[in-house]
Amino acid sequence: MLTAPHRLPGFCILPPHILVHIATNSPTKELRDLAVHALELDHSLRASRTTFALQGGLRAAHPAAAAAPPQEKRTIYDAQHSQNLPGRLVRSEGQPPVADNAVNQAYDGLGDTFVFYLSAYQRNSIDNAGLPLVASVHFGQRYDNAFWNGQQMVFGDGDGVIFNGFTGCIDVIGHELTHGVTGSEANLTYQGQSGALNESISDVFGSCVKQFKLKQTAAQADWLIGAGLLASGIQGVALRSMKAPGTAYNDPQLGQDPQPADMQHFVHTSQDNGGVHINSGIPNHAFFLAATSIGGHSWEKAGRIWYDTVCDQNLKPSASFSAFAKLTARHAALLYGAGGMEQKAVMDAWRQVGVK
Amino acid sequence: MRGTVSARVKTGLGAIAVIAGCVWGPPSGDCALTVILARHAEPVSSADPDPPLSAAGKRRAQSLAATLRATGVAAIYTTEFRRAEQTAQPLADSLHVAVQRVGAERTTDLVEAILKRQSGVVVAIGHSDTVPRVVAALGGPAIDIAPGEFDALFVVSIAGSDVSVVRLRYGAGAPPVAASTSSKRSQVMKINFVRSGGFAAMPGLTVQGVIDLDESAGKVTSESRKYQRDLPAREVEQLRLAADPARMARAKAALAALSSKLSDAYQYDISVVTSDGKSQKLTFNAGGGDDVDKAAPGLGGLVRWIDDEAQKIKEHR
Repeated sequence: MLTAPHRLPGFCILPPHILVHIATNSPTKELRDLAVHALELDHSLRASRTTFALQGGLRAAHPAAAAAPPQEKRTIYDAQHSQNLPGRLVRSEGQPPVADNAVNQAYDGLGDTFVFYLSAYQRNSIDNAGLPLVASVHFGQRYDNAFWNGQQMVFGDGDGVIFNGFTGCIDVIGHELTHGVTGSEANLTYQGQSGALNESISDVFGSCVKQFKLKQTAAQADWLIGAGLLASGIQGVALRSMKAPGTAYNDPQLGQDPQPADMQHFVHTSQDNGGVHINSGIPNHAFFLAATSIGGHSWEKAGRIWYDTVCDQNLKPSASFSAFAKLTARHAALLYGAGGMEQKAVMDAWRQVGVK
Repeated sequence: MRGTVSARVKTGLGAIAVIAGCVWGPPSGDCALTVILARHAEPVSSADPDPPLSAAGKRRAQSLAATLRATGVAAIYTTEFRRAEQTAQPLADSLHVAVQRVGAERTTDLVEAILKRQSGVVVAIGHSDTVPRVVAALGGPAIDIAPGEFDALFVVSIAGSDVSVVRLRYGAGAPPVAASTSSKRSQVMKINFVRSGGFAAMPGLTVQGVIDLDESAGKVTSESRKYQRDLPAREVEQLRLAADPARMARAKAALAALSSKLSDAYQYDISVVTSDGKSQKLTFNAGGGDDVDKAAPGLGGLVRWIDDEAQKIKEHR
């Protein structure tokens, strides 16, 4: 595959992966910008996962997306209890189920999330350009976590005492994949309020993926994140509750769910990137209130409003709750009319959680 | 460890760029760019902010010239400091190549000037902080140069989709003064660690601990869990090596870059207190030790240790 010549001084000779490295690691902004610009010139790279690794720095339109019909491209790896990624290839797109259930759960969850984004928002994968979806299972030893590393999803097995495996919950998979979507759109900085918004957006669409799969209305949904994830001895139903933040668990060993439901109870902490998984309860609850007030399927109207907000170029990486709330109200008006029921529901939801 | 270290950076990207007839793909002689980097040789010790080379430094500069004379060096860059210029001068004289000055603070300009050359062999003499920055900007891994280390030579080869860095030694070995300084160097006495966050981010999953170290023994304590474990001498030594404050200080930028790509990964807060009363703090996100080793070679061991210990602490009732 040959591409057009690069003509940017200083970077014209560099292979793309070095540009990516420079774009992500350089000590100075000028150098990063130059590298990003050089990459932008290379249209063939737009659809590549490497460009995406620039943490969503490129928001260019994707001409490739229109050319080919959207099709999921899933690859599941087994990290074999090491921390070495991605690990051994165990299942590729179109291959039949394997004996390892975690592999099949990850494969199915990626597929469900891909179908959700395509059907609900006509989004072709994480980057809206058909990015292949990659996940590794069995990461680390009894690893109590699942994360998104900028390129792929990573799932630990859980220790069996507190957690069952992380691949068993479709909303967890939807949550991780949505980090990729946010990364390629607003790229909200993972710290403080913008970080809590980033987390909340992953919970919102993680929950929407589950509701979509179960064909539930907002009234029927459980609004829990990670239901079934906690092992049987733990006193709790899930990791988070969007309906009633702070009530998902209360266990002698794990403590009490620390999520606030409104700004009055905003938690200031230096841990967890400034409480991104704690204060996400506030925008989570706002979405729950808006979706249940509007009624019907959450992903159709409330979800659409949130989705358009995440994709709005006016949403800055450093956005506060308040800036995000204002944009949701604007998109509610753009989609369903100013002063309509939907916009009122959205504005009222934010008012109830104390975001002005 | 010093000696020869080789690291390779590779991605699975298939794209190839064509520039002025130069094809980036499989390594091809015409298009390979080799960048040889070194810190300046030993300066005289003085209060002068711009000291010249010492006698040992001048000998090292001669041996740099002897080492690189036959490598086809086409350009030589130094910073504006005398010790860097004097290190490059014998090589420049023997090759009749002019020394080009790029300010020590202008790493970006230097990298651009080097990359414009597209092929051939380029030498750049800098400082213990600028050389690692240039290597990183060229696509190489994180490297470090110890305070008394003047004999390290880095050969960065850029060819096809590969960037490889080979670390060599040249000239006389580190003088005995430096060796005795390092043995008397202050030691790590205490390490505080907190691992928080993660996808679940439940309060009970946050693990905190303190490691107290003396000459050959140590213990790790997690007060909130009433957990304590004595550390055998070998583990004490491993932890000391893993929690090197100088390495932590150098890893900050690379770990910040790593953190910015991650979501739902654990947050690690690590602070190290040394026997001279100084402390070094580091906060970053990581998906395990291998991840950290890729961004900041050598620090992954500490993260793996914390992950393992966190599991023991969590299981302690």
